Amino acid sequence: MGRSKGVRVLVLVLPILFVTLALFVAPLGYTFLTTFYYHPPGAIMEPILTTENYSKFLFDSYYWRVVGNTLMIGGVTTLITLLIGYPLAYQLARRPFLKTAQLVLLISPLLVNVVIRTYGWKVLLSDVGIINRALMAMGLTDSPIRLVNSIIGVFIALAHVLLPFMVLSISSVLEGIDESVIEAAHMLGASRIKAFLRVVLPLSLPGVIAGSVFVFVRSAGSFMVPALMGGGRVRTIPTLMYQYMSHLLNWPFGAVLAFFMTFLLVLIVLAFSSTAMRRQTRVEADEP
Amino acid sequence: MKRCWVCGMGVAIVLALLCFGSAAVVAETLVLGTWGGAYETLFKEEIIPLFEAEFNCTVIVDVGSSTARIAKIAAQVNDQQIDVAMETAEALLAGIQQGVLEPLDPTLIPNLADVDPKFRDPFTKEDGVYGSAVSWTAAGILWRPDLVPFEITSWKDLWHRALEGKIALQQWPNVGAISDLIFSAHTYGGDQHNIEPGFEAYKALMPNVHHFFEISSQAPAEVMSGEVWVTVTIAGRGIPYLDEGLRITIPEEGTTYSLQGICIGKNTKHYDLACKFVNFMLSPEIQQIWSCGLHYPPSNPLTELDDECQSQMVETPEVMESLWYMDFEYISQMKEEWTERFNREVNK
Amino acid sequence: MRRRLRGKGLALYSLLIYAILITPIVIVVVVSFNASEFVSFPPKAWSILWYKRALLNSEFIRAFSVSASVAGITTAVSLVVGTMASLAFVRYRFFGKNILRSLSVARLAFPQVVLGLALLQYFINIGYGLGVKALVLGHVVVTLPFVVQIVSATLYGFDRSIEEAARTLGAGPVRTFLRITIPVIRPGVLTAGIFTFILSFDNVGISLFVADARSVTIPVRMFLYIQENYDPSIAAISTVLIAFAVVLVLILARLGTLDKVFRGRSGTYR
Repeated sequence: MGRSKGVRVLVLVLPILFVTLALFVAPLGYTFLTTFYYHPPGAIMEPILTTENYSKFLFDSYYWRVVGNTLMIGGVTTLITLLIGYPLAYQLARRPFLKTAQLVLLISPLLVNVVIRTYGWKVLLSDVGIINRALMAMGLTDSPIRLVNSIIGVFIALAHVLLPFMVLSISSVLEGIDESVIEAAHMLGASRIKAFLRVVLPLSLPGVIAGSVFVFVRSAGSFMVPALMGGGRVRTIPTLMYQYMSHLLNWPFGAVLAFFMTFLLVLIVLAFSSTAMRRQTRVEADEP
Repeated sequence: MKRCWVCGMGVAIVLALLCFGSAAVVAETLVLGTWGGAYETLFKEEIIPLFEAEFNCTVIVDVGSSTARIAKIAAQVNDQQIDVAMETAEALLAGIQQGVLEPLDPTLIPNLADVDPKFRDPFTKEDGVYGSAVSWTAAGILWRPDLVPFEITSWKDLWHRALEGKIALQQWPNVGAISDLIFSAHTYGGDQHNIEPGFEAYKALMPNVHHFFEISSQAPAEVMSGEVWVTVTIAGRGIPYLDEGLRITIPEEGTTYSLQGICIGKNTKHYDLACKFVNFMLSPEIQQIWSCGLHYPPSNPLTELDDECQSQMVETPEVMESLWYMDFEYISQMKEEWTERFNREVNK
Repeated sequence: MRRRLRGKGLALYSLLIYAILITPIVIVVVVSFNASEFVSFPPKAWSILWYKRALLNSEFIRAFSVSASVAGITTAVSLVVGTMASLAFVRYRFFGKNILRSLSVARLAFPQVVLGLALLQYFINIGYGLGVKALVLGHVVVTLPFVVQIVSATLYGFDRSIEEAARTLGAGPVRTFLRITIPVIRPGVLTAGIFTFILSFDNVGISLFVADARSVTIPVRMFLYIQENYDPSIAAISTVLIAFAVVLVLILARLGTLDKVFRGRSGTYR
């Protein structure tokens, strides 16, 4: 790389480097240190070094089950948004109607505070909510179906918020697929379904993967939604972490949970994106 | 195009700085950390103007959550910004343990001696009193008599089979959940120091529990909607719904209580004024304003409450007599262990 | 004929999904007009008193202006820093690139309350202090990854040959950037800007910890309010905020840029 290029890169990267190092790595450096601090019951923490917090987490099967639960929530939410979102994205990309209105509808739910949004869902889905009352009035069920205060409610609320990201992620890629490629497939004798499965779907994969990664990170990392919609029965690492930080004032252990969760999520994301890379049809431009 | 943006942003920055540059300081300024909502309104509209007039100073309200507040007090211990802080009992005790609070000066706070010992002693250590409750609230059962087929008079009624799947309790490790565990203990032959019967009873209660709520202010609404028939939370939360048919029952055999505490940040630069504020908050006149404004009984028994005020409060003198003594320090130490037991044994 | 039927089926499906998406929001708006003090649906009586109360409450107005100014400054800073970083990430290979990108992902995944607490302690320990300046920095940290991702997506589709042409004709790098590159990436930058504004405006985790007495933001106020009071004023404020957000989104849609938001092409999470 030539010297002027090197300087250019440095200038471009310096601000984000500063932000990352000075405002993320540095503050969390201290937080990482506190994961080794002792937490006296009833107080917050003392600068006595101990590995207690880590051993408490690593050697307790309960926390591993919660980790599993968290990842499961991430995975299922991703699947839900993918299955619901793909047709929507297809429609948006290839034959949209009132595209602006659609985009407004997709994005405005994002802008409502989580507590208030879950209230709306509770009105709709609770045992005495509109849906259950309608179902019972129609005689489809005798007793209310437990939608809120269960993991289903959590999935619904999370999917509600994250669907737009999945849809936009896929649709933007779909929009870029040239009609002529599909035409070519047809001319070569492929049926509509086959053309879709063999041509469109693979080409849209980067969008699918990018959307999935985002939804996964966001749903696995959510702590307010499981707390509000789960009725106390849905345990995830982020909700536990919030308990330890805010109510129990056990900051060292809360920090352990935070770091571990982030580490796990970053690992998964990197694994996914390297898979995505192998399926790329475009090569990233590189300055010689 | 970019230049216009830069200009625009520059203007925005200047405007922002103008709006939020420090106001000219007239007299001594005290920073009061408190919770939002009704607390903040009461402080700003009634209590603070009186204090400022009497002591010729300015009081700034710093609204926040208990966690953030105690974090700020601890972090700023070398350059304390929060002079007086309202805290829950647990956070206050944690603050004392962390060594980030100032002892209260009894000579500057004569009203401290009048406070009911129950509401002051939890914060008393060998080297002084570090805080006091300004008011307290009792836990109670909120229920709908049109749905519940019998009259609820005692904690034991909660275990009644007719209430299967009809109760909402608070999530762990909120204060309300600890209270639930303790009333379970008392009902079945234990207490806070002998919690084992409590755990057994609490587990036995689970079939009647429909769900656990996170935010206690929502609990009465869930009962009013009919989703559940009964909930247990701060008794006073039900007051707005009494006209709609909600009943509040505080069982005669006793109940738990929580405190709204006040304390002083360590190394505050306005120690005398801070003490005067604490004294002010504990004086009968201000206790009356506080209690009547929030419907929380005062911690100073010398406070005179008029009849209208009394009628708005669920915590009658009989309730006060029947309160189970809460060993807050012990509870705050056991909280984590109990939470983890709940996670593993009860809420699998 | 079959194609039209299929198109109709897809359209109906989409309509259904959209209806489900906005129903909870509609409920919130309806509740805000509830006359009685507590939240119930459907309302038995209607009133706009909660709007009056909310809009007359000087604290909320102040919080709104704090949120707006912090969001504005954050957006400006994030856009500049993020665009510069995107240029570097998309066009060059350099030492530490992958680490920097991983840290970018980490910033998306790391719980904001823990980061907020860390920043609180950090800002105080280095003597920087809390308040609006801390809010801006805190928000920049968490919004930057979005900007980088969105602007990068735009850059990937950018044909470099136009820049080459400009260079051949004698334009320096800065001039090329201002006159050629910016107009092309402008849609992506604007999209990133509006998303950043919204994310900063709506932020709770960081703002809970690094604000000071004079700089409490609207979402924090609402969060604190709802712990103690459960009345329709919170629905009223939400409705006002929704309206505000819809306007923002309409502006964005006008500029025809929304489809560039989450490009799935090469390297969104590389």
